[in-house]
Amino acid sequence: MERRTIQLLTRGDAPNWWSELQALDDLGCDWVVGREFNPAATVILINRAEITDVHKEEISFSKAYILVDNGWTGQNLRRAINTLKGALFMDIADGTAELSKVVRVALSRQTEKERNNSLMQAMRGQNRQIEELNRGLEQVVIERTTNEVDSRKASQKNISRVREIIGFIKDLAQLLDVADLLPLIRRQLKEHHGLESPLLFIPRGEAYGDMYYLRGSQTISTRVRGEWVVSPRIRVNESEDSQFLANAMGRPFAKVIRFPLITVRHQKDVSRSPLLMFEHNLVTKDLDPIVASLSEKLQPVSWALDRLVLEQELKSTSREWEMTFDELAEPIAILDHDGRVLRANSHWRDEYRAVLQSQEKHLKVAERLYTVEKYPIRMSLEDPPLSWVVYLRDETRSQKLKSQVVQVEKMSAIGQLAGHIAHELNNPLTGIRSLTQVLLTETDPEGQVNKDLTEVEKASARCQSIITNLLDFSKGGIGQKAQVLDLNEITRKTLPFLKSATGKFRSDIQLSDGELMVKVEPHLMQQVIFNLVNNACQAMKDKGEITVHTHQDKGWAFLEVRDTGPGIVESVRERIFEPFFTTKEEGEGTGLGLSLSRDIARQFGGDLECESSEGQGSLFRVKLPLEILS
Amino acid sequence: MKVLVIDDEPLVRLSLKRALHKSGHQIEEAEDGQSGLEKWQSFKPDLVFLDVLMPRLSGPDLLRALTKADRAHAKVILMSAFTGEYDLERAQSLGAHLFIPKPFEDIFAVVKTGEELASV
Repeated sequence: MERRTIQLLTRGDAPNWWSELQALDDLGCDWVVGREFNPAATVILINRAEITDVHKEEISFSKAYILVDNGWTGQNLRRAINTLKGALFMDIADGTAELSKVVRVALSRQTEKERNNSLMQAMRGQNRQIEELNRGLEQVVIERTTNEVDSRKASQKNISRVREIIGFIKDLAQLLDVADLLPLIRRQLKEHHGLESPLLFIPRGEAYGDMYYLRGSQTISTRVRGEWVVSPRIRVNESEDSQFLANAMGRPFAKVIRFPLITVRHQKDVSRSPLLMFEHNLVTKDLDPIVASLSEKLQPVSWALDRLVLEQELKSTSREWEMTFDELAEPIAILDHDGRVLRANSHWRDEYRAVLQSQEKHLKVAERLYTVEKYPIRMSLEDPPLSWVVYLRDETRSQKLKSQVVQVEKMSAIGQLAGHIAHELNNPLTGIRSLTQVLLTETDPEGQVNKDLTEVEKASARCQSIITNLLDFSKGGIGQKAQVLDLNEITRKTLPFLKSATGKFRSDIQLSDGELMVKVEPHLMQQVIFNLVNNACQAMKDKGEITVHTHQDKGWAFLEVRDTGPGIVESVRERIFEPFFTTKEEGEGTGLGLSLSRDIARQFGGDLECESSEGQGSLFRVKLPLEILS
Repeated sequence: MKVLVIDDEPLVRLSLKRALHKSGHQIEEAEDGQSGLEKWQSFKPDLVFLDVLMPRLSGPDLLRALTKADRAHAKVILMSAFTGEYDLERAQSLGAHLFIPKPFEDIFAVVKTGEELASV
């Protein structure tokens, strides 16, 4: 312990008790007297009478104070102690030995206090250290915790990545069409910015294949030709790949990542493996994680695609069969021996099965006429047929053409005949009319003979005009060109030839005012009028009224032939324009009249319609486009 | 004026003859091409009405059979009821001067046309 200093604070000289006190106790202390507080002093003795306000200010708790008095009264004790705030009291009257005791107590108290202080200080230091340690520990804990959170995040991320891949694989497994693959891949990659929509190239053969790409949400596939570099590795930013895509898609391509989708099937021949490509504008740094993430998903894509391509090939093979046979406009089917359909094209109807058992060479269904052809399929020549290929050859068209040719030939023969007849009649008629004209000049203009001759002249003139009309229409016959003619005029010239048919009926002919110019072949148009008027007459049997009207409306010329016959029931009306459909007696009608008439009307850009119901008579309406004459 | 009518139709011949006679012309007729040719050569007509289709010799064949001298000053009117094949151009290429289709509208108009043709 350091050497202590005991000070007597006094303005006067040291009193006797001071020296006695020093002499009495060897405390190993320095005894000093002074007027001012000595900072080095541990114990300070102050004479009570000398305590001033200044002293009071300077009294410090780090020191021990002894209040000195002489002849102290208990009354003053409290005041003194209050003044020095817990100091010891020493009464010189108590004697030196007693004084010494007080000094000792002060010293030991002070020493204790000091020890406590230093202890406190030490404790404070230790506290600081502990605090620091704590802080360090806390840091460690925070760091550790952060690491743990991070690693939990990382593992969650891992789990979600795996989940995502599993989900992706599930989606892939549910794909039904190659076309759905690209939207799925795009959805998977939407987090990768800078990566364009995927393109999928599936090689189909030497230097060609199918390119699938997205337009909006739709997958477009197009057959492309070109050379591509074959490689089993992922290729990044190869100009050849950009070039290939540019050629295939017809637009420039920037940088391209290319993934080969290799499966077992392609391992031997990588050149047939599909290629998944992305256009991108990423820098190398960003590219690596994307390539890594993509590679991870490629294997399932390869598998899914392989499955889809296989399915597609399978489907296309059977579709090819169907399409090939659907292309045939005629029904064809493979039937087993009991007539069950094993396979059939789209034109086959179930009711056709009956032909297998039937001996009929022809099948007439609805509007079509078929020739039945049956080919047995046997394992060997000796075996009975396992199944049959049944082919129904459509004769409708050829029959119709044949009938049309017959009709045209008939018309042409009639035309020629009419020409000859007209010529044969024209000569005597010329004579009759001319001679009548001569005779008219030789008779009395007022006489009866003259009047009679005038009638002869008029009648021969009428004959002449009928013959001229007949010649007009018979002229040419086949191969007559369509000409712009007045439908009213054609009708007017045709009706006289129908007198024998219309004779027994009332007839109402109302042709429109003015011309109805239409572009037709006159003899064909005449045939249409013939057919319609003839049909109308036949429908009415014995009595009735036939009406022939023409009119125009909105650029169309109309010719309507109406009868007051029994009308046509709906089931028949649906079929009247079918070739070979007839309700007439065998040999009376060919079933071609209306069918041909409609064909003719349509040939000239028009149509033939029918309005009829049972008991209401029938109306057939020909419409033809009006020619605008310049 | 000497007029020859060659036509196999008697009424045509008769009516032409009667109409021409009124104008005071000298008329000969023939009922087919062959006799028409003979009449032509003997009669030497100024005007000929010639039908196309006739037995033995047709009108065009008759024209081909004529010598240059036979034709000399004769004006020929070709007539036909078969209008499709003949027209003025065809008639002229055969050596005729006019073509009149049958049947006639007015016999006197035909005669007048012939007279005008022959008087040129």
